[in-house]
Amino acid sequence: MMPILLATLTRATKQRHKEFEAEALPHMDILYSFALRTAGNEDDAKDLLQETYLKAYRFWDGYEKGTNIRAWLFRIMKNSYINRYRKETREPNTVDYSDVENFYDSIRAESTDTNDLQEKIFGGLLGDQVTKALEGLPEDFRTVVILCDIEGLTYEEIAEFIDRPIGTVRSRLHRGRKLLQTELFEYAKQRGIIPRDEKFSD
Amino acid sequence: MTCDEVLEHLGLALDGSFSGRIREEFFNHLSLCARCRREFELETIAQQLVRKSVKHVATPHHVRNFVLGSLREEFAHTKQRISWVERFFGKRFFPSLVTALVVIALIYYFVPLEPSGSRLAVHTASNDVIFQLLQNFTRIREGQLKPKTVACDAAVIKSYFKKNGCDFAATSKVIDDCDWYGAMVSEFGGVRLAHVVYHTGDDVTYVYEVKKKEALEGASLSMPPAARQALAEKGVYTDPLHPDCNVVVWTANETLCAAVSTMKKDKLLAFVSQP
Repeated sequence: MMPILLATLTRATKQRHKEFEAEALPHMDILYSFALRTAGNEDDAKDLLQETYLKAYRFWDGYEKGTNIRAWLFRIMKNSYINRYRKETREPNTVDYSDVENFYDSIRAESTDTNDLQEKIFGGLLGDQVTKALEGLPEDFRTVVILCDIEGLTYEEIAEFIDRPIGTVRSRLHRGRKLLQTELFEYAKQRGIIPRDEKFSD
Repeated sequence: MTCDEVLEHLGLALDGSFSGRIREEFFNHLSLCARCRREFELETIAQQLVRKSVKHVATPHHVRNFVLGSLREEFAHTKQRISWVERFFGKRFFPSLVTALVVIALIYYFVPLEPSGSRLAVHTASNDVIFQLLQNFTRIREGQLKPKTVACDAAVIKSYFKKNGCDFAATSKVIDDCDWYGAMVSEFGGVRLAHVVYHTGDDVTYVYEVKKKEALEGASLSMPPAARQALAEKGVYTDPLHPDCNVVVWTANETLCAAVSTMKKDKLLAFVSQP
């Protein structure tokens, strides 16, 4: 009887490997991309991705078949990240958004479209600086901005990923983008794109 | 649409997932409200900037290989764990294990463990001699039943029984090797009973005596069939297990004696079979 049980066990284990590979591996790209934007460098992203997949395999029996596997994997990654880097989920500092608004108001009349406005406000900023500003966002805000604007997920899916209502996704996204603008505006000022001492009209 | 509603729909507008009527109301509001327009445009700029500057990054080959390698190792460990179990319960070990289990089961089945609850003697009939013997013994040990006469000399006890119409007891054996004795006489269903308590060292032995004829043939008292058979065949009967005492029944001349004691069974047998 025992050999029969063992054969069954071995077969079941092989089946488990196959199932896991077929279901979980296709989502490696979105996980890696998120890990890279969250951890900030390739080495840490690689470790985070590895840890996520190993944990997912070990807890594969806990995954409820037919539910959103991307969201499940994402939550494992998020927890691993929090445990590994012990980042505090801090509230963002209160930022003064008025500079951005004032500058916008001062140049709005001269600009015909948003591309032009973008160029005028943030033009000349390097991709690295945008990335850095994004990485500097508090975690909750950064997560929704990455998932929405870089990975192109729907609000519904983001809500499932972060296990929060859609209203929370919407408000975090709005707040995150505002924080980002302020940060980028500071970069633009530092780079001399916007005169530092300029007084903006209301 | 109010300013608050516009702010609420900002994200949807950015993503272009708007239905006709709401879209119209949204942009109508923007054309009239500079504050909301600013909000919308700045958010659009932020979104576009992020989309333009920060791209989705596909997993590089070496990272993919690294993760797949780790997973393969993990799979292999799982297999190894199974093969370890396989070895343990494999061709050699498994039959030995089964044999050992069968042997244990057979031993358990054929050799009942002692003391076994099922072998404890239970006497419930109130006119049963052994039931009365055990009940009286408990009451004597708990101090509820006290002897009428206490003496250090066996002759005093014999004379007490004679005086109280228990000649049968007076003729039966009274053990000499004893520290002190207690005695009393009672009646059950018209049958006279003699009771003797022997204190020897730390042991207490109680002997219940009745005319043999009354015990074995009378209507008032009863005896367990096993006891009757043993008495007929061997003249002595030992009751099966009791948790804290031993019971021996024997006949001497025309008297039936039933003894219960804290002594071990062999010691009790030796005690009651003194010449």
